[in-house]
Amino acid sequence: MTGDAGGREGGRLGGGVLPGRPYDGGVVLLAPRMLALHLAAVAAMVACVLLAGWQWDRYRQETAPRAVPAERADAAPAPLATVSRPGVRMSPATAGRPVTASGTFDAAHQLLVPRRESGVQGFWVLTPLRVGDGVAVPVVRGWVPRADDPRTRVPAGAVTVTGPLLPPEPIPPPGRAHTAPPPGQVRSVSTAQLITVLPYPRLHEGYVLQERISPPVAGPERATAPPLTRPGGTGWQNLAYVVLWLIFAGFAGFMWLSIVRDRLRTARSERVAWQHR
Amino acid sequence: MTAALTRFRVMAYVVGVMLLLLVFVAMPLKYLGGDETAVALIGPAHGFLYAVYLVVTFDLGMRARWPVGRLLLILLAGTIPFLSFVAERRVARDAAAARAAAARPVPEEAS
Repeated sequence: MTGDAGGREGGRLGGGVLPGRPYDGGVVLLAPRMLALHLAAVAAMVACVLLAGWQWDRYRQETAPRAVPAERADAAPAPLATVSRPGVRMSPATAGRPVTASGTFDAAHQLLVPRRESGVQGFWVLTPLRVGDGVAVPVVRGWVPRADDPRTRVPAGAVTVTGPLLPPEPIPPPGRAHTAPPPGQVRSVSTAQLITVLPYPRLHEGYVLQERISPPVAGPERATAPPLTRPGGTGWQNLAYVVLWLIFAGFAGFMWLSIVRDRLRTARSERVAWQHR
Repeated sequence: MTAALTRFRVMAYVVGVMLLLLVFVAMPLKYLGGDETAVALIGPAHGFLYAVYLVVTFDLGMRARWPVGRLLLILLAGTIPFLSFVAERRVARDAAAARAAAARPVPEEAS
């Protein structure tokens, strides 16, 4: 009894080889059983690579920024204090939600943000709205084409502003102009930056894009809200699967090579035995 | 060989348990309960452990000179719930039988 208790189908060199004929490697590799192995190995490797590709596509989808659902913009406006706390990061579910904020504008700290609307260069008018004791929320009241536009005049007295609460914009990287913007201007509506130029210890994150104001007063043209996207997920699970499927493809190839090498070695030793019969 | 056999048996159990957790705990949690975290953790873990199972099974198969068909079936057994336990039992039993056969004294030739 030889050591292979289970028997070795294909240990014999496939079918169709006449007894007494010298065995050689080419015959081994092309024997019908081996062809089936080659086919299965190639199919397995191709399938694994395709599956890795599928998971890679899913990874790209998962990590791409996602559009915020449009229904959020249609929600009934809620008081600012119910959806945002000063100094606390805006939750992803809140971004873009209509809110109402009541208080008085701080005309002394109004800022202009250079911004294009409909292809025309102009400024967003950014005015802090005092909503509580030392608490404020930045309000983009609208857009004007020139800095000296009379519509930048700040409404006096108690007002209630209604509009979406938008997430802060990133601080733009220093571009061609490495100089600071002129006093009274900021490059973007960034909470991290506004904290340093506004005197409010407690600032709501983000800003309200004013759509309505009560009592109604003539003001700048309405600014256009930027399209909202949420950052994509990490997608690490899909990345792990990509690696896994590639490992499986490699393993299928390794198994294939091992079996072929083993059969060739067997064929060689059988040929030697036959030659020395 | 014994070490290879032990490695195989350990991995067959580990993979079998992970697959059961994945199919009977994590997936119901995700598809019926809406909770994705279990699948996100157990899925890739099972995947990598299965890769290890592939390696140790192949290693044992080559040492034990299994036919290719048997090797493939045992490799695939790690992908179907409960089957890796069945494979482990079969392999362990065959190995025990082979050891017993090798240890049996050679019968006297009838003269």
